[in-house]
Amino acid sequence: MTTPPGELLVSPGPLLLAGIGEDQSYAAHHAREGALPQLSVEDLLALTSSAAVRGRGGAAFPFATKLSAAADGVRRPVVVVNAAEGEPASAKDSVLLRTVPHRVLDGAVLAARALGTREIHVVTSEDRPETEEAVTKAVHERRGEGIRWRHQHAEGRFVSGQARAVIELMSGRVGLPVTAWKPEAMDGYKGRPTLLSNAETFAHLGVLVRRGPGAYAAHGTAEEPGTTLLTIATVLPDGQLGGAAPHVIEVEHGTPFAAVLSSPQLDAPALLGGYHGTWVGPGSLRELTVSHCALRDRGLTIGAGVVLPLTDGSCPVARTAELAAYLADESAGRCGPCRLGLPTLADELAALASGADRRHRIAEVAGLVERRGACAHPDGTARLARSLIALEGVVEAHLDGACRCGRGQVRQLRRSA
Amino acid sequence: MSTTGHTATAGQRATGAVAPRTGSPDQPVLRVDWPDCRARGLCAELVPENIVLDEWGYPLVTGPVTRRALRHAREAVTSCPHQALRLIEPVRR
Repeated sequence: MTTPPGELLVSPGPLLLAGIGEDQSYAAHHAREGALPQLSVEDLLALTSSAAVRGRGGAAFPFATKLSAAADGVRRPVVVVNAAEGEPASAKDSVLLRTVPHRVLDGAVLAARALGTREIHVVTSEDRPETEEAVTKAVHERRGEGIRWRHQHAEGRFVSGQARAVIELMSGRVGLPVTAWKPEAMDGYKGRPTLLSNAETFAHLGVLVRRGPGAYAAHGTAEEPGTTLLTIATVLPDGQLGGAAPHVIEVEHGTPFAAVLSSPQLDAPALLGGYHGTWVGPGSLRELTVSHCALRDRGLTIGAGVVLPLTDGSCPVARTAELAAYLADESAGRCGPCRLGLPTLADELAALASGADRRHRIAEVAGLVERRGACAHPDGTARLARSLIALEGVVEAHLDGACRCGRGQVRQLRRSA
Repeated sequence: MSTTGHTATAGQRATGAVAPRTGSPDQPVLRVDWPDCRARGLCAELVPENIVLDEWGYPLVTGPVTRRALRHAREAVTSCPHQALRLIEPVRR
């Protein structure tokens, strides 16, 4: 069973996903919430730094730092809402734009006005047509606001959402990563200060301003106020994403995984943070909470909020080999170490899956691709490989033949919509 | 592809102020423009103090550029046939 393209499950949540059943047209949104307040960049900096808003595209970079850099530039800034969502397992940006598009766009308009610019680009991916339609409609509804909306259509590939790939696309070139010599917030689109953030990040900004810092910080923890979106998906034995449709939920920071996942999901090994993420062993999720900081302290990442429990009894070793082969194929092929290193890494992981102890070599190749490309694709792939090696018990069991996955069952992973 | 120079493995990679992806380092560092690099290997010959080649012939930058190696580093930057090497100097504040 596979999920038909575009099918998603979404549950209501406390902030971003509150009232998702209501009419979400701009007229209804505006009638409910009123006009957007006009905030200075100082106000917005104070709000986002006290609420510790971090980027939700995967890197968890402090939003206020980025905003401050964009505000310090001499030239007129540009705002970019990144909803390219190149990670196939993630569906949260699509869910936001399909269910509550104006919460995302509110955040972008607030940022643009604070920065004194009228230009906002929204980037969606061609392989998520429902999301593209939702953005087209929402932007059309807001045409009276004095914003120059630019809707950009990224090619549906893994690296299309990387910041520099998005800026290339906006500049009329092929949307693939190039070397960044300075942060985008200082020197981005046409050399202008570019506030490029993930769609969910802008939604947090919108909700934080609309609801006020008190109501926002009533959720989450003191260190990490507010909520985060998770996409809970499953990987089928043939390596495809599937089973039930990906489920998007909004949870408060600090929520135990035990409160949001089923018992079989908690007892399964799981990939946290998607294809560029980190593995956790069977049962580990019972001890963990949804917290960027707590996970980071254990060498883990929640990335863009993807949780993939292997509830079908399959083995992280075989799954990693499939994912690495897929990620090697998704390399833009522009940077030597990525073009040559990722297939090497995938081959070594396939050898491990068929029973050869290649752990030393896998760590070596991971070290040869990290920080050696224009984008984070090699780093993310190396992170995935290293986290597998760190699951000593799982890998030992696989090599001893004690795991039931059937060695050598490494199949080709196809891209899922 | 050039096979001159040393082949480094991950275990031999020097520690120290490796160039950040963006922003200013504390000491001068060499950074490779990866999409432009074609593994010609000239840099590893000109500034062996800071560049060794990996198993595919691509440069591995090992630590910040010392005062002694600065002249060699600058030469490597200007000599790169693909202009794929830059010296990132610390910004004096």
